[in-house]
Amino acid sequence: MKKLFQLTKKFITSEAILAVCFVAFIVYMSIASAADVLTIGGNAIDAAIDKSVAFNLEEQIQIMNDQFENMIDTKQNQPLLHNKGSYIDLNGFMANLMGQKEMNQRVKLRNGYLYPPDNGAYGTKLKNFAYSLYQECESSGRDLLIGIVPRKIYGNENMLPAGFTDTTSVATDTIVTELEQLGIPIMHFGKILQEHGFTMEDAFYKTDHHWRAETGWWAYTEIIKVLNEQGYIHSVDEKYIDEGNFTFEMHNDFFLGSDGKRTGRYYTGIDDFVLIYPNFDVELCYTYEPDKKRKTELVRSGIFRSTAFNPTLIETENHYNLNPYGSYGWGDKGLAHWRNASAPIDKKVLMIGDSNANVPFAFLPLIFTTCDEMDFRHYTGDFRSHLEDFDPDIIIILGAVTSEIALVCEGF
Amino acid sequence: MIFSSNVFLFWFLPTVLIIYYLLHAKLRNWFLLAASLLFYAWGEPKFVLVMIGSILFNYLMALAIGEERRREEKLHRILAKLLLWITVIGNLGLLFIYKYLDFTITNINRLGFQIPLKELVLPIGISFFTFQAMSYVLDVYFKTVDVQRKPQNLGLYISFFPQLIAGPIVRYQTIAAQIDNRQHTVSDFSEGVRRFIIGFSKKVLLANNMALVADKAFNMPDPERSILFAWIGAIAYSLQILFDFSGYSEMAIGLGKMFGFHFLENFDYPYISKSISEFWRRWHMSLGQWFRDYVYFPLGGSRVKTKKRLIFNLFVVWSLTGIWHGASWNFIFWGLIYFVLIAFEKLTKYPDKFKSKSAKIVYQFFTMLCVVGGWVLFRASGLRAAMSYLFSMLGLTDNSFTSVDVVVALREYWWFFLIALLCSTPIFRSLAHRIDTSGHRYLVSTFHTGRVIVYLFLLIWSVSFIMLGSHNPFIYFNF
Repeated sequence: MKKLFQLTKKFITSEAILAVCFVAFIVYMSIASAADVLTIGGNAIDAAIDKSVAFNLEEQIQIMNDQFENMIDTKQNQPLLHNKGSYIDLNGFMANLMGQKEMNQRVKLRNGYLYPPDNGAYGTKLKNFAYSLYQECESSGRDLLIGIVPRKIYGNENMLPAGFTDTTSVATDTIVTELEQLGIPIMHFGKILQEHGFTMEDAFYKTDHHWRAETGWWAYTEIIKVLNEQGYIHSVDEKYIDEGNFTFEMHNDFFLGSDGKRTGRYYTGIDDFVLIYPNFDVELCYTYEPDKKRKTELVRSGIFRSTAFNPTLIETENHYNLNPYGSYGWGDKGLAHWRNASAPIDKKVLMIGDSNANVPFAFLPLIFTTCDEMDFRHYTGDFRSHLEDFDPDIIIILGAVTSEIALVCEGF
Repeated sequence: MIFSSNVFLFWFLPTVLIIYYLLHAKLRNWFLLAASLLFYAWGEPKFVLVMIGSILFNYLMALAIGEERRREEKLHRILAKLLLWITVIGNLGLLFIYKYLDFTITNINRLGFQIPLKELVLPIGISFFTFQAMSYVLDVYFKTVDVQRKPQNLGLYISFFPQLIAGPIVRYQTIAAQIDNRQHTVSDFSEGVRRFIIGFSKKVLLANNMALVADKAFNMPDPERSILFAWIGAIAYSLQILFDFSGYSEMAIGLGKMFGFHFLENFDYPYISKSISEFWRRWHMSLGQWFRDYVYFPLGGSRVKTKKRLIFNLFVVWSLTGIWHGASWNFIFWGLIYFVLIAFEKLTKYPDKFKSKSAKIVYQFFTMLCVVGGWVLFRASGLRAAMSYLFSMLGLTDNSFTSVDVVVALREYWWFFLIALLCSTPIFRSLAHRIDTSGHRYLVSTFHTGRVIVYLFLLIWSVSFIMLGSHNPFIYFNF
């Protein structure tokens, strides 16, 4: 017995335990990561084989594709790795513990909100495009409205920790002034939010660069008001813009935004997420076309709740692999068509925007019978011919100047 | 492939370890050779042909030299010497073509010529494997080792993946016996894992975080770089290169042990050195020993009749040391500065001649200043950039004393600075030794258990940085 004890003592050393743990760890990670790859591939294949869900096949493939894109960091050429989010959580926890104000190219503002400082100078592309479009609208009798969405730092530069600078607010103001001087109708949401007493915490997510869904919904109501003020539309029934006629479905600790996905859940926390949909009946038909990102077409029709949202992104809580914000209007897409036969205003509206526009643009089809939505980051067609074919009555551009590429069609 | 990547840690290493230990002993060298070539081919497959060519060339030349050296006749001695020169020229020629050809052309073109640059991509680790291959052939010539008749064994020696891209430069005699017959023990494997984790953590946690500060300081326009931030940047780079290089060496030593090989140490706390000569006995020891044994000693070393000859020998060694690190005047000047400093120490016998402790401390401080200044030359993108950086450290570029960058660097990275500074001294080793020899069984067992937890935590924390895809520079592209 004593011999056995000595033998055990000889081989079971702390170094040997460490070695066993190390080998177990790398082998487990290897097998689990391989299993993840097979599972994701297998799910896509299952969806393809299961003909009974043929309607959802393309949707499933799209989801799988999105999952792959989320989990494979192509820039770093890193393979799919099991449980990557937990490691980011640990890293964020340690960064928080050490009091680091910057992590993975994201700065933690004094109120804990995450922000990617940007000191880049903006070009004149947006101004030139808007002016060309404005001239085209003037000659063809279309109405044009541009909405500029601020970044969360707008008016809150004092929130930046020492050592970081950001000039996006100045750039936003400059471009708004230039567009106003050209006589183009413009909504400066940075100023409008301030006038209505919104704070950064009210208007923006702490882990994402977008404004909150609630802010996006409010922006939709403001756009309707301005369209009416400009005389582009007649006044609409209050039910379409009255908060009481909408459900605000709260999902607590549900959303980890793109900034949060870089820093983990323990660096600054998780956001609540609100899904907003009308309480009144509405029958929508929604389709989007294949584009740079999506390889397949999608066609949905029915009530707002099941048509205007990508349901798979909000059915389950998955902080790292799902993006609930992208559920509104099915996320970013090159060209989507919204049709609502029972809408109060029988006009054609062309909506051009970046991801900030996803929420407001999902609600505008409640008002208009015919809406087309475009994001030039993903659009592959010819804008001029689409403009001629679609022949809109109103064109609305909505987005942040930092993503001017989404708002500007080169060569127009 | 680099060690601090997911591909290596979670795909390559577990696969190679499992297959290696499942294989029959006779097949293990073949398998390690194949794995090493795959490791090398990852990312830039064509260069594996350069490696295989180098292996075959040195294998055949060593066979021929060994054959000639078996015979005592003068003709065979001359033939052996001729073959040795062909081998050395062949190896250095390969190195010259890939590493120094464009540098040479650029300098010739400065004289008015217009020779087009070849723009060849440098095969990773070429300086390391060429020097290893040469050391083998030289040892065969000097009859220090027997000729290796199995090509797979020589191939494994030259290409063995743990030391392939960043050293240490393993001498053939160190592992000749281990290639043919090595022991695999639990304690060796365990120690290998421990060393690997330490090296991995040094590289990922310390070197990569220090790199963020150093990169910011070195990439900044001169007038914006305050005096204090210039110093912080230089110190950060000094810590980055220490933990990057020594981290890689520790990972190599650890991986070697996992496969039953015992490599010699490559670093021994160089930043506690009391003189420049001591620094080079503690820094990249395998390179220093290579130049000592194959260049300095054959030239006569220190045991020469005249001071002129000694200075010449030192000049040759340190010029070569400089240029080995990269084809740039920065590296040549860096080497020559060490030539001047070491020649000074050899000729004057300072700092050994100092009697007072304070003088020795001052000299130690001077040593570190020279080392840090040397790293500025090493890191800067050119001689002019290096001079500008050094001037900004001295406040000669109209720069302010301090700036907000100092606040940011210290606020964001002070933990890493503190741990890096502590780890550059033997403080943790001494502490561990004290506990181990304290005789308190409870304390010792608690310490050993705690150590396992700390190592596992360091591993997982380091992996989290890799998962994050954070800054993971590869410092050896010049080598």
